[in-house]
Order: sequence, then structure tokens, then C-alpha cells
Amino acid sequence: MLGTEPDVKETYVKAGQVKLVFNPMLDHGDRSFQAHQAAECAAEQGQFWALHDVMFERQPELYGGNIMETLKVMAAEVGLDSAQFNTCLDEQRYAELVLSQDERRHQFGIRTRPTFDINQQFVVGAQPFAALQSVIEPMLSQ
Amino acid sequence: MMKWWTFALILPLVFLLPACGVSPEPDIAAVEEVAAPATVTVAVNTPTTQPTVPVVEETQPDPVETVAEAVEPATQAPEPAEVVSAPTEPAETQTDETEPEPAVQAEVDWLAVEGKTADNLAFLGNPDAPVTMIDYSDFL
Repeated sequence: MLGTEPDVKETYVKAGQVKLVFNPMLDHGDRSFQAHQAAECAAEQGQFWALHDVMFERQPELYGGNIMETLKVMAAEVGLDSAQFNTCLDEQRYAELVLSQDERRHQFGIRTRPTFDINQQFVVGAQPFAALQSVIEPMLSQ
Repeated sequence: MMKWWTFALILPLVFLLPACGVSPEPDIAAVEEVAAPATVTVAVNTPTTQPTVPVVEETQPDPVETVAEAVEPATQAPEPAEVVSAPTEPAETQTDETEPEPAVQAEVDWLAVEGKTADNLAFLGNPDAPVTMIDYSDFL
């Protein structure tokens, strides 16, 4: 999620009002598959969201070159233990998990990126922060 | 001893002088009237002056008192200012009281809290937050 995520984090997640959950969508073949595995390898070191943020911020780099090397460089820049991370990614340690997570969204019929499930109320497509606020605020006032 | 002819001269004068308006009685009355007003004037002036003086005296003390009162409030003015500054101190105390609250919140930096859900999905923030927002997305 680009654009609105920083606002959601600063406004609601930081205040403890919203728990932000990430469910992978493998829409770009092996590159997507490797990137989501890399995020799971970062989660081993408690840095899922740190690498998540860097991958979104430097998204164009993921489209070209050697995706494995690019991910390892990014992980090192985030401050992850490179040996542990590289081994995790090379082993494809979380391949099955990522595939199952992608299958999960197919089961829910979610095909549009991004889609937001906010307490089981779905907001489909890229939306301005105000649109998300209009869904979140009534839930917080209840 | 007066001569008989002296009476002959005085008698006509006695009758003629009143006819001309010259008589000793009116002269006495005039003197009395002049003297009386002079006395009355003095009597009037005295009481008039006496009240005037006290009025002036009373008037003078009033401004003095007023000035004194004006000075007293002026002296009291800083007291309210101190009172104003006094609430300012509690305001600072309130600020101090307010500061610890964010400090308590700052102790829990939910942006630094991450983990996995029961479905093994990565989450960020308060695990017990009233709202759960699942972002279905791709990094590419």
C-alpha cells in the first residue's frame, strides 16, 4: 500500500486504535514471490515492516535486475543480519507460507490491489485517506 | 436766656423743614437701615463662609481620599496580577500533568510493535486495537 499507509500509521496505528495486517498478493510472478518471502525472512528478525516500507519506497528497483540480490541489499540496508536473512531467502524458507497467504485472498475473492478489509468492511482499490477515515472513525466511536 | 425773636425764627423752621423732607427722624432711620444691613450682611456672610470653608475642606479631603484610594487599588493591582500569575503556575502544573500522559502513551510506541496474527500474517501496532485493517497488496 502506497500513499495512504503513512497517514493510517501516524493517525491510527501509532495511537493503538488500528492494527495493520498485511496479506500478500502474488500478482507479479516470481518477483512478487521472492519479495514476499524476503518480508517473511525479515519478520524472523522482527523487521517485517521495516523491509516492507523499504520495498514500497524503492519499488522500481524490484522490477529490474537480479531480484534476489536486490532484496539482500535492501535487507542489509535495513540493518538485518545478512547471513541469517540470505540463508532464509536462499532456502525459500517461507515459500509455502506465502503461497498459502496468496491462496487465502483468492478464497475471499480479492483480486484488486490494494483491497482493505477494515473490520470485515471492504474498501476496494486505491483510495484517499479520507475514504479510509470515513470507515474507521465510526468504528472507533462505537 | 433766649430772646423772643429767637423763637420767632425757630418756629417757622420747625414747620418748614418737614415740608422740605429734612427731618432728624428720617436721618436716624437711614442710619439704622444702613447699619442694620451691614450687620445682617456680616451675619449672613459668616454662616455662608463657614459652610463654604467646610465644603472646601471636605472637598479637599475627598480628592485626597480618592487619590489614596486610587493608590491603594494601584497597589492592589499587582496583587490581582499575582493572582493571575498564580493560576499560571497551576497551568504549568496542568501542563506538567498533561505531559506525563503523552509520556505514558509514548512508552507504548505502537509503530514499533509487530508480530504475527493467528493466521500467520504480519501485523503492526496494538494487537488489541478496536479496528483491524488488513491490507491485501503486492510489493510490486
